[in-house]
Amino acid sequence: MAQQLEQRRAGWASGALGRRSLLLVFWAIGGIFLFLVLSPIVQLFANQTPAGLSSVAAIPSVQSAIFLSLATAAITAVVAAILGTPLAYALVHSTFRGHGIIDALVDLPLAVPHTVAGIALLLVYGRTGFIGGPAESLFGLQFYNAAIGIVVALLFVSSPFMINSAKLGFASVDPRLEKVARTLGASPWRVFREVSLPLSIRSVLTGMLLTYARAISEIGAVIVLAYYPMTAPVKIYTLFLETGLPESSAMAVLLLAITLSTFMVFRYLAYGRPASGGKQ
Amino acid sequence: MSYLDIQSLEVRFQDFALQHVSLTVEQGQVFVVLGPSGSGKSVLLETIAGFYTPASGTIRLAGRDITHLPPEDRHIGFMFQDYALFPHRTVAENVRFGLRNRQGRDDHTLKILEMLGITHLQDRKPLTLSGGEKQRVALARALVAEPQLFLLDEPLSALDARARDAVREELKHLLKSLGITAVYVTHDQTEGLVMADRMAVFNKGQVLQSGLPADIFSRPVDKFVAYFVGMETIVSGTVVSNGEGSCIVAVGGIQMQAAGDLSPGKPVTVGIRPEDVTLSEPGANLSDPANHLRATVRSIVPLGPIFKVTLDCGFELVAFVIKEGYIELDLQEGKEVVAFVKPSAVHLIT
Repeated sequence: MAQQLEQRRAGWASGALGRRSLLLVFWAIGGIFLFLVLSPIVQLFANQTPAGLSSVAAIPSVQSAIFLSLATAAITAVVAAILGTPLAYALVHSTFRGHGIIDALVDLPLAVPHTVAGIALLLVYGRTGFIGGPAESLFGLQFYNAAIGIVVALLFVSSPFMINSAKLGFASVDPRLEKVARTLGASPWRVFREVSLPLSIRSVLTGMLLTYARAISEIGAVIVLAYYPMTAPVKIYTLFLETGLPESSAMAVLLLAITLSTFMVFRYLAYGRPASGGKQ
Repeated sequence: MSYLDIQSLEVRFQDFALQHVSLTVEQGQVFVVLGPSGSGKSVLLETIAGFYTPASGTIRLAGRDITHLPPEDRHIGFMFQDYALFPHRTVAENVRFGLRNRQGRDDHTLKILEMLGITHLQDRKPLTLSGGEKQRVALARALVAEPQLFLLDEPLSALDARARDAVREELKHLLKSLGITAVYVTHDQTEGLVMADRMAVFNKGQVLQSGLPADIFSRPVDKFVAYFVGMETIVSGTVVSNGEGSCIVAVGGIQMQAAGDLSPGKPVTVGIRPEDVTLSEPGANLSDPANHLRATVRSIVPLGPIFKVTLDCGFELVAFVIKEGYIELDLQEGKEVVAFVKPSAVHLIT
């Protein structure tokens, strides 16, 4: 990897004129894209005053919404890893007919409008749903308007990120390593534990990070299944409707800042070094 | 019964199959499977190791039927082309992976590291090792598991040419000194010849010929085997007459004496190894009992220390010439020479 980077830089340094102009044009085009993404966010931050931020930060419902978002997103990432990692491994290693269909189904949540996902989830986990109903009458467990409902909604919309990332990891493990481990007397369970999983762990962690990011930003599915308790995006939306731009944008900035910093922390924990991260 | 006894093994895939592969290997022998890439050699090895389920046939190792055992219960060591060392573990951790009996693990590991001379590498990660070092680590890791059989899949092809020669000798020495029974897969005839006690030539999922390397190299059963064991000249001919253990064959308008007693009129394939052809100036030493063929040089290709010379002598004949001969004869395209081929070097394939 580092070697490739060196080679790329060397190619640049040798100053092939055609190459330089190609990169210049591509940076110019890419700049439009970056502008599109960064300008609203920069503007969002620029519009804030310290006084406005601290007054919004002092509102208890704002605090609890942000905390709820971080907590449910973190739980979602952990549950997604526990459920998604075995599925990803199974999908990579299975050869039965039709596993391609399951493979395609995994991506389905990407294509479903999230409000539609919310409605569909409501039909299953709502008070009359085939899981929501029995869960409430038998165990007193309520998904509708509850934190667990939020987690279920977040799991639904973020599952493709977790599964696809872990799949990439398992698929990139050289099958010969797994085979040689078997010839050394290791059972398939031990091979998974000591070879496949350790060699894919970065991809699993990346999947958790993507899941966490996706979960924090979700509103569509959550708002249908669990309007209350309010997650941060739901609270920002209601602030926008009730009080207009100043308060909602102040809370948006708070959420972004906190999310970014937790993101950095997780990245550091997962990859051992900040920002530059990635695989060695 | 042989130590490793494989009987009419069949493995089927959508577009490929191993067909009735039978081979036997005695204890302590290195059995080389020689074949081109894509011939199914690796599938054969992986079937012996337990990664593919045969549709029919049996595999017996040390008297035990292992045809349907999972790989971890077969006690078969496997060495892959790139050695498949676990990149996330150190050398010592790689080697310890193979320990079946967890007691006294460090003693045993150390002993094997020492035996292979890699004790100083034990804390290194595989990525930092040279090809030869990786191979020793892979060997140590497999040895620790105390395998009853070793399978080696092109174990030298990941090395550069210079390292290959050294590692080949070392590997042969290790296999022999440890008395390891092995099936060794390669596409390289030289490597096969060096390593093999016995050998099989393999193509399209089938054993074409098996036996002693010397027999296969001198008496290939068909054109493919002849070509694959390095006969550069392979032409069709007809037996003209015979007698006293030799016969005359007509090839490309000329006649040659060959070893073997075949009846006249029989169509044959004539195979000649390039190192069995010697060249000389026209008119030299015609009393030599060898076939002397008037020939014209068509092309000369330098192959490192030797030259591959293609001649026209009524048919296309390939000779290897060392540099000295090349200079002495002043070889160049269009030059007239005489090619000598002993009757015993004219192999008839029927």
